[in-house]
Amino acid sequence: MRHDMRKIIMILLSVIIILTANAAVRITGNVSNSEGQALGGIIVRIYPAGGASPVAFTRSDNKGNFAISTDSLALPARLVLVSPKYEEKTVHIEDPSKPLKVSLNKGAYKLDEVVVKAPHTRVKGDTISYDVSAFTGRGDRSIEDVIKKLPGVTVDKGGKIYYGEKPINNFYIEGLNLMGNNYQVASRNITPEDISTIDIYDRHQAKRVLKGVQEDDRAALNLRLKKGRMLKPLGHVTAGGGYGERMLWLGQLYGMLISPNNQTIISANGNNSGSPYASLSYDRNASKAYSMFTFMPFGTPPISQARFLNNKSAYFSANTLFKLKDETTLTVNSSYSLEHSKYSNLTRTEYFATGEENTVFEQNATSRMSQHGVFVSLKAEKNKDSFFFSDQAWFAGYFNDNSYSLRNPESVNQKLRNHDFRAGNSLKTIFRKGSKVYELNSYTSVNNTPVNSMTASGADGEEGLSQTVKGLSFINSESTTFSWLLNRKSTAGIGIFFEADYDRMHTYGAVGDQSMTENDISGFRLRTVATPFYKFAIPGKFTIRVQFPVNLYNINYTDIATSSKYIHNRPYVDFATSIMYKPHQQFVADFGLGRSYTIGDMSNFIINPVYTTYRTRSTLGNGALNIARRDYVKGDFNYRNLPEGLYLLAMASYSRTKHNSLSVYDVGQGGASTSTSSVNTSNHTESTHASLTATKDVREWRTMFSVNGSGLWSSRNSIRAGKEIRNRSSFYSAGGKIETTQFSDILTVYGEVSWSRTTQSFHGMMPDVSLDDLSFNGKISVFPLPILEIYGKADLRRSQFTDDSYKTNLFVDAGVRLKLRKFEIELTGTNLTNIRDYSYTIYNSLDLITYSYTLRPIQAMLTARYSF
Amino acid sequence: MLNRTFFLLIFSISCIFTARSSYDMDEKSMIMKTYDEQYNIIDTTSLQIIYAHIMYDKVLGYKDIRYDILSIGKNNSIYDDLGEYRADSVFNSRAGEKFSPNYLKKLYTALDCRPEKSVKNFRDSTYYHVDIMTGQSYCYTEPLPVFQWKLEPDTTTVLGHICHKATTSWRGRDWTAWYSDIPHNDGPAKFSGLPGLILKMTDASGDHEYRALGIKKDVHPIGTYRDSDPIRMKRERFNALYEDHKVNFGKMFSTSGLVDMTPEKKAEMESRRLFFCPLELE
Repeated sequence: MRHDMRKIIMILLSVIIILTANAAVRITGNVSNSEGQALGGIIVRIYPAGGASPVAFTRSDNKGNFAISTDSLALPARLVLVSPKYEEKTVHIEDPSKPLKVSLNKGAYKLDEVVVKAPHTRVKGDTISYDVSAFTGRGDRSIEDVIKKLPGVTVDKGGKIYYGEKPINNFYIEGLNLMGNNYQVASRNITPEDISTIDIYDRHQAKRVLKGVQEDDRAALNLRLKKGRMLKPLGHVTAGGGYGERMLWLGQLYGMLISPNNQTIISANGNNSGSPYASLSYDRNASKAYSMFTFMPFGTPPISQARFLNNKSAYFSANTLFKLKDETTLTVNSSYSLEHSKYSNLTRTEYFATGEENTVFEQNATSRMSQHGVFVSLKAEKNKDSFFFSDQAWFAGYFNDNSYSLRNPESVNQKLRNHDFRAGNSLKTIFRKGSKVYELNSYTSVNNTPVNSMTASGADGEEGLSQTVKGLSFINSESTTFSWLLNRKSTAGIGIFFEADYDRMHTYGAVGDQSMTENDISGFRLRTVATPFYKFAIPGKFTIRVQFPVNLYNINYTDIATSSKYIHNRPYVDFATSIMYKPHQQFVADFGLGRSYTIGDMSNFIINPVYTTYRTRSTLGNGALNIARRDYVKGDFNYRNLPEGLYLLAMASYSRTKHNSLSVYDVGQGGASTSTSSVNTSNHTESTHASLTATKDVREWRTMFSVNGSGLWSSRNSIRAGKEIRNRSSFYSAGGKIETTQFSDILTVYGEVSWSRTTQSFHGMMPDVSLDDLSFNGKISVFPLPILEIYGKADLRRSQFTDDSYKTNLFVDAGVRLKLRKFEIELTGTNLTNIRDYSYTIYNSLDLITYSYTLRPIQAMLTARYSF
Repeated sequence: MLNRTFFLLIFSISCIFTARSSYDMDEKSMIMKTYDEQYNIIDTTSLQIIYAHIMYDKVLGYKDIRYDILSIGKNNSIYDDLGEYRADSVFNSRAGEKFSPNYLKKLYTALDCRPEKSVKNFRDSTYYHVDIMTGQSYCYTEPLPVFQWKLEPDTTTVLGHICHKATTSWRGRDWTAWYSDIPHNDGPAKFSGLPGLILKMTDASGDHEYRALGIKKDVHPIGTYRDSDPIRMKRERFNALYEDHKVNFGKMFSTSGLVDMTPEKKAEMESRRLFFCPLELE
């Protein structure tokens, strides 16, 4: 009994103690300095047992007294007294009821300064401004290197800039578009030191008169110069020499002068060290005759041209823009390019043969290309809020003289020689009166290919095969648009478009003196389009646009040799709708669906074969006009959280196209020849695409991560050896990228890995096949001194040839760069592993092709640059 | 004789006025001043915190970022625009130098200055705020706001300092503050009253975020501008005036009669508004 009573009392006491320990408490006290003087304004915080955050606080009054109350407090608690002028003191509290007497010693609170860096990103409306100095790494040589790092921006190998998945529509320097589509000359030569800010104008409508009326879903980019960089010439001069089984050389001059009323850029380049300038040249639409022969018909590998092309290249460009009164600009662009290039490769093609053993064909090829190109353009533009005017006239000339040495094992020499001239004018005018917008466009171009011939001869040098393709085309188009602003959110209108194409093509193929094949056809193709449209928009939030283009085609071609006529007069109605939804600044979704018709042209009536190489014949048409009807649906989702450095892009699309023409591919005995043609029969192709890209900029780590994945599924029909085959292919890819700068910019690391798989399915006619490809490329730069960079690059590729056969290639480059004020000296070593052969396998429709390219040898270059 | 003298006097006076009315913006007619000459000095600061203030205007649909600086003195603190602070610092460091109105305009544009300024007086427990709207300055004074903070156990790190969480509801918004162990019970804008310096604040709707970006330890006087003579009013009247100035800016401009415009342009101008994201909803 007594034992039970004792137990009960112990339990009750424990409960009381626990409850007391956690009951509402009030702590009082007084704080003074070491001389006993009361201290007011001292911050008093109370922390529970084991707690890291205060649960209550107060300040001492001017008599030094303080009192803190809290609902509950786990003991033993801590009382912390802090002040800017006195040392922090901690008092442990076991019994809150006892008043405290605390003395503080003098001592300033230790606080380190934290340097503020200028904000590197600023958002205002649809404009995002990036501080260039915050994004520039020590190894960045041109502004293009900085542009590549901006969130959402990618730059392809040719220097074309993309924002999201779409190319930019304008590249401005201080708000002016000097370079047009040739902006790579500027982006690859302007240094980051000269630029203060890069602005990205999302959904940029360049024509002021169309702002609020017609959206453009592409972005524009603007470079703003640093103060003091205007009104003085900027640029650099570079010279270099080296060795790589032969003497190498390089020279470059770049100069830029930017002032408020004039911008001028001049560039002169030359080298034989593996850097052709093809991507720097203008690329206008070629005529059908000129594009009949390709310049690299025996293959080009998916690696940099610098690895396999032995070149001698020169490029000169002069550009100037004058800003005149009343928002008017006058721009002159000109360029000249010279390319002498040579490369060698071996091709092994396994042609799929239905029901028989596959045919294998092998060939060695050495291709030598020689091209001169000239381009001149003059453009006047006036861009005001109520009126837009632009007129651009251009002229271009291209002269090619190529030769190809082939062995299969027979020796064949093939030559290609052509001259192509193009001239044109493009006029655009838009004016706005109240709620009405009027637009008138006129486009005219003439392409003439008076010389265009391919010849092939055997080892004896006697000309065997010759093929000429001459052509003349004339295009004129006029368009006008009327829009009415029905109210603040709705616009309706109609666009009228008229296009007239006149084409003439004469092809003549002969073997020796014997005529084998000839086409001589000319005629016109007229297209008249009326496009009524309606647009509803809540500015910056939601837009829906619906349009129904009605196309009337009037086609009339005459085969001069046979006097046959091909006449087609018929209307076709398309449909397109697009929706843009932007619930807030960070999120944009676009959706589109529609139907469109694609109607053929004169090439559909070129029914006699044309030799495109010594062993390849192509019959462009089957005598019936190609008509394709495409139905599509697509969507993309864009999320940009700039303060958090997170960027997401997801896209998906599906299309189904109904054709009335089916391609036919035949292989001659032993693969000695191939021919392509078409037959008039109904068939359809399908294509589905999905992709996802995510980028995260972890600023605290100075690291950017990016992952991507995509899938592409397609199916199409073709005829091989008289049998119709349905071929399904799929392409998967996944990859990741990391870019980081560490140790106060001393170390920069870039790494990118990607995997892809291509599969082909032949509907049971032969086993499904798949090929995997894995690649890694990376770069490490070390700056042991601010003026010294040591870098190394590696490019690893592992390609699959057959089920159990792979080939791995590893390319290694390295270099040292010393920068002393305005001078820069660089020593580079390329292909340090001296790989002389690059091989890979691909599927081309039904056939398996293995390529093997001879690569440039190991080489070293020493260059010196002076910047002014 | 008297008529001639009178005529000459009138003519001279009109010449003087004519000369004065042709104002040369490039003439160096102004002199840079020290802090003592610029301000009515109220305190000396030895600690400054730079904040980013990120705001979201729901109507316009975009964010804006402003940079502010809190200068902490012995009994007062001033919350100022960073651009204005830097401009004042330029004048102080080059005191005595002459400059032109165009230079002042370029400097203010380059530093992105804003005239808003607030003063917390902890000894008198008052809060003073001044701003300029359409060329005229206005101000109000109110008792220093008292916040009912609820301390919570969560922590985070801002600028390398461990920060503790506190929440409160105040004038129509729900706020979350992250205060550090730095012994100042101050913070951005009107906020104060926590047992440590506030380095980060957000409101539940996502319209406002204050984030400390840096700490400076410059020592110099602080105060309000000597040359300023603002119109005094109550806080509620000031806030209503401020809202009208931002939201109806376009309407005010188009109906002012100052600019001749077509009816279409006028209709388009009336719908324009300036960026507006009020701190207080009550």
